Amino acid sequence: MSKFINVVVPSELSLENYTLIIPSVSVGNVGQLTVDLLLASLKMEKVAIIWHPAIVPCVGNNPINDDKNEICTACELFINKEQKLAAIQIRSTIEFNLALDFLKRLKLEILQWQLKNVIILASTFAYEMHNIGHSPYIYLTNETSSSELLSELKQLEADETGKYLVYGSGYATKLFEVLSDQVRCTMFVKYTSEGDNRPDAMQMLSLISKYLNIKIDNVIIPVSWKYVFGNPPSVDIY
Amino acid sequence: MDLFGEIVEPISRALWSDDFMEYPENIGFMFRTQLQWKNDVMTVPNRIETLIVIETNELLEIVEHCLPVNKTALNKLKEVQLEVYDMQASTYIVLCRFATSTIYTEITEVLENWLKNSNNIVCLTSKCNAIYQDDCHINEKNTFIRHLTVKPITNTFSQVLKSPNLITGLAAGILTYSMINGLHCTSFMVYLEVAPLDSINTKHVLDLLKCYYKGPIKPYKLSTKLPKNNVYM
Repeated sequence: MSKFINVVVPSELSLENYTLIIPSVSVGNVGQLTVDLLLASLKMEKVAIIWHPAIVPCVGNNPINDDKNEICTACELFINKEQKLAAIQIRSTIEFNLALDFLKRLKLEILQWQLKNVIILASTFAYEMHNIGHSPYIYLTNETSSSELLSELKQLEADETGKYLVYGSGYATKLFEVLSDQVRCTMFVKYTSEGDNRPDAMQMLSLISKYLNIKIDNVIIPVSWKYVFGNPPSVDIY
Repeated sequence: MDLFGEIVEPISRALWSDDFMEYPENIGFMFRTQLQWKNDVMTVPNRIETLIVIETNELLEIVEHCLPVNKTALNKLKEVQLEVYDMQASTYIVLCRFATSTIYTEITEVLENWLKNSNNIVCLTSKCNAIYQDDCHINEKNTFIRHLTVKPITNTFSQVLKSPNLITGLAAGILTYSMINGLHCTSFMVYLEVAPLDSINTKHVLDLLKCYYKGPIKPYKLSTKLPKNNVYM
């Protein structure tokens, strides 16, 4: 196990034709918060713990359901069989020096799973949105089929060196670059600022549920969000 | 009006590049080779009944005062000031004095043989009690202990840690590793008040250690010490 990514997906489980959602640790953690909402709302099942030296370890109790004592670790894989949806949740950060190795080894795992496509969720600084008329999202995709939803969003353009640059989006563009030659991949980035990013996560959830045609009857807030920002301000002050 | 909200950047503006754009290819593996046991030919005992891993300055101070760990270490990882001590009766203590968050996974992997040969792994780490998040813990004692475990344990000293509180550091790395490899591990988080250690606020920690270490444990006594920094000097 040393030096290598360790994702023990049960052998009887096939992820063929699943869509995998991966958040990038970025401004306001919008991607991770969105995955939290997905895990809670779709009651996704944990199927693997991901271990790699790049992942800074952390453990806690079940962040979705208080009644169920179950240890959650820094990086885990979840699935929902009905929706054919898989999601990786990252609860800490990725060590910079080992990040590329992690992303490349993650790609090798992903190729074995024979997924339908991968969705990367990230966020960038709100002050980078130079035109308020634009959608608050940008996207990047290597999918050939057109989507009505994508036509409403702004496509990320490469800089003069041919690289994609999204400030504050963590490893999102690098992961896209690593995956995109062999995996169908789409990246969504939301403009945001650090602060209470729960509304951003709600909006991002709405976007990806439309894009992936996922039906979410009731959005459930994970218990781990309980103390994030205290109670809303009193209406008396307005 | 089409340009309302547009920012026209002056040409004098300095452009900055994102540090995260160019991830180094091989630095990680160069770094990994630095973690070497001082005695690299030493074989790990085949059967370890209890392996106790302790980190953070406060807990290390308690252990150094109250447990007989002042003898020579069995082995050391010099780079992270990690030492392993034989405490007799098939019990071993690992003291980790210095580490950064980025290498806890690597330290865990270096400890692999020790972990795999242990029947019971116990990790102790600590944080300030002010950062504990709960509905109401006004009635809590100054020092209280929470734990996460692979298999349920029975003791009266700690309750299960509730979300959104987290255990980080080596205790988190070892618990994660144990879950993946089916090892029996419990990580305890000691929430300490921000005050000098004394016989009262260390009592729970010593009571907990008595559950896993059957040798002599001295009570902790408050002593006058010079501050470790020169802020008030």
